[in-house]
Amino acid sequence: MTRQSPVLLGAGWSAQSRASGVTPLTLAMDAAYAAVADAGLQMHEIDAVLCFGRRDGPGPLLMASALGLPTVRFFLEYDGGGYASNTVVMVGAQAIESGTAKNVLVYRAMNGRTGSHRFGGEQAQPIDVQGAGGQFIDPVGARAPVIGFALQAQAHMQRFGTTSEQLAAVAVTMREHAARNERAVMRKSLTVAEHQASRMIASPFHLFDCAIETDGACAVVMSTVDVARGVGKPLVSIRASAVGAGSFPVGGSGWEDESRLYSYYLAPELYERAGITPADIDVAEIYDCFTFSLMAQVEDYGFCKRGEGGPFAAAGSLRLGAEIPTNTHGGLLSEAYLQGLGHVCEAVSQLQGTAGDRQVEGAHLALVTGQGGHMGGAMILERT
Amino acid sequence: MTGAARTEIPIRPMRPVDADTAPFWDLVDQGVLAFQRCAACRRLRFYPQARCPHCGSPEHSWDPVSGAGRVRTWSVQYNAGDPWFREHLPYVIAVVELEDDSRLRMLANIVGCDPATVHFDQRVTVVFEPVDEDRRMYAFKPT
Repeated sequence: MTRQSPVLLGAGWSAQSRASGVTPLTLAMDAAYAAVADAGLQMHEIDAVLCFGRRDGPGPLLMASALGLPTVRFFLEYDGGGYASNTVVMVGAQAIESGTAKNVLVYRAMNGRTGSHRFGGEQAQPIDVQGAGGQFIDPVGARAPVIGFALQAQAHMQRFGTTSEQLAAVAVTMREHAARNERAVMRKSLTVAEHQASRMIASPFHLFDCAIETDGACAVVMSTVDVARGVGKPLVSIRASAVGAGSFPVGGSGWEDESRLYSYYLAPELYERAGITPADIDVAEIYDCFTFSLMAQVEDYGFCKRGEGGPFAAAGSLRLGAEIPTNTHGGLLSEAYLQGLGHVCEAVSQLQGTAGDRQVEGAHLALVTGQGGHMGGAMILERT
Repeated sequence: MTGAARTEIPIRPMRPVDADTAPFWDLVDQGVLAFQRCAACRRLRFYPQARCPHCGSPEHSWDPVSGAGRVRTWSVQYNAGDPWFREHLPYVIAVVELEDDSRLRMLANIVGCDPATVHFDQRVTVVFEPVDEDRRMYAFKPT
């Protein structure tokens, strides 16, 4: 097999909403057709289909059938949430690099608000924790994903003096960015006072510290450098990637420092592989299931010192035009809950220079992350 | 048919025990908090599993601990998916560090106090709450 250089060729979205009224398959297909069109390809040229999720959307074989793909040379359905968003893209790139496949479709689709699987709210909780983990989580009432992050945020507040008003600044900035994004579900302005007045969910988190629940899909198309040149698209490649975990707590065990996320362990490795420093990054698309998780990653990826993420956010440093424009699409907090693949799509738009009102001028290097607290993945994408 | 709905009394969401964890839960049902201690490296561990995560040895004993600990971090819950916990809002989830080995930590509820008074480094001790006629569940209360 001939080794090929993979590139991210295009991005696409379905409509994002609170109630799609259509199936996750329809959402996935809408996103796939949009991404393939953006890539300048024809659907029949796609020969690999990858996705991730919690069995809340169509699998890759159903998608291949529904899209009428004549030949599928590689497929993967990764059982995972936000921490899988970068991993699946990395695997797609490896399939291209190895010659296993040529034109790769990666998607995430779900009715995250109206479907049977919800991550927040007072109804169904989707994650079926197996084995010992579940035995020590469910009887404590600790199954909801928010709880792990709330425990981490409280520890960060204790250690560094981080405040709820500083977390609010993250939410406010995400909303400002969403206002410039026609896809975003939450575009109405938000103030720190409104954040502070919103109901408590799991202390220290108010409602507006939490990602929104939405119905929608997005997709990325990857291919080779040769194909990209053929269709006249800019070359957006993965300069470096890393995936992994620090200490992984099950039922609270193994947590050496509760204020740390996966990125504390992963970021140095990512920068070393990329051969760049945080100051080289033009735009950051950072997984923001909660305000705190974004803030802590901003520290770990070196945009400010550890412990100073709160003041950094409160100073407006995450805004468009500021030190490090972060989540230019509005993120999970305001655009849509696409479990991190939306962050990859936005990075592709920024590096291809098609992000419209929210374009970071001359964006050349983008950081993209996806995470679940203790595990995650990140990529540095580069326009070459 | 009558329109009377059957009233379901929510029960605490205990999960099925397995071969790795049965000794732990049997002791909890007796009001004893005990952990596996590795026979090779002597380290206590949580959660229960067949081999020591630190040295790989399968040999171990079940050692009761003092039940004293400290709150490392916590979160007060105002929202719950589970019906039993919904009836117990607001409730506190904490990471408790056990006195017997500061590296030994577990998620647990803090009970017997106003949730607003839970704080970092708070001294707590284990208590056991009845689940049904046979089973009990551990929690911690301030000392």
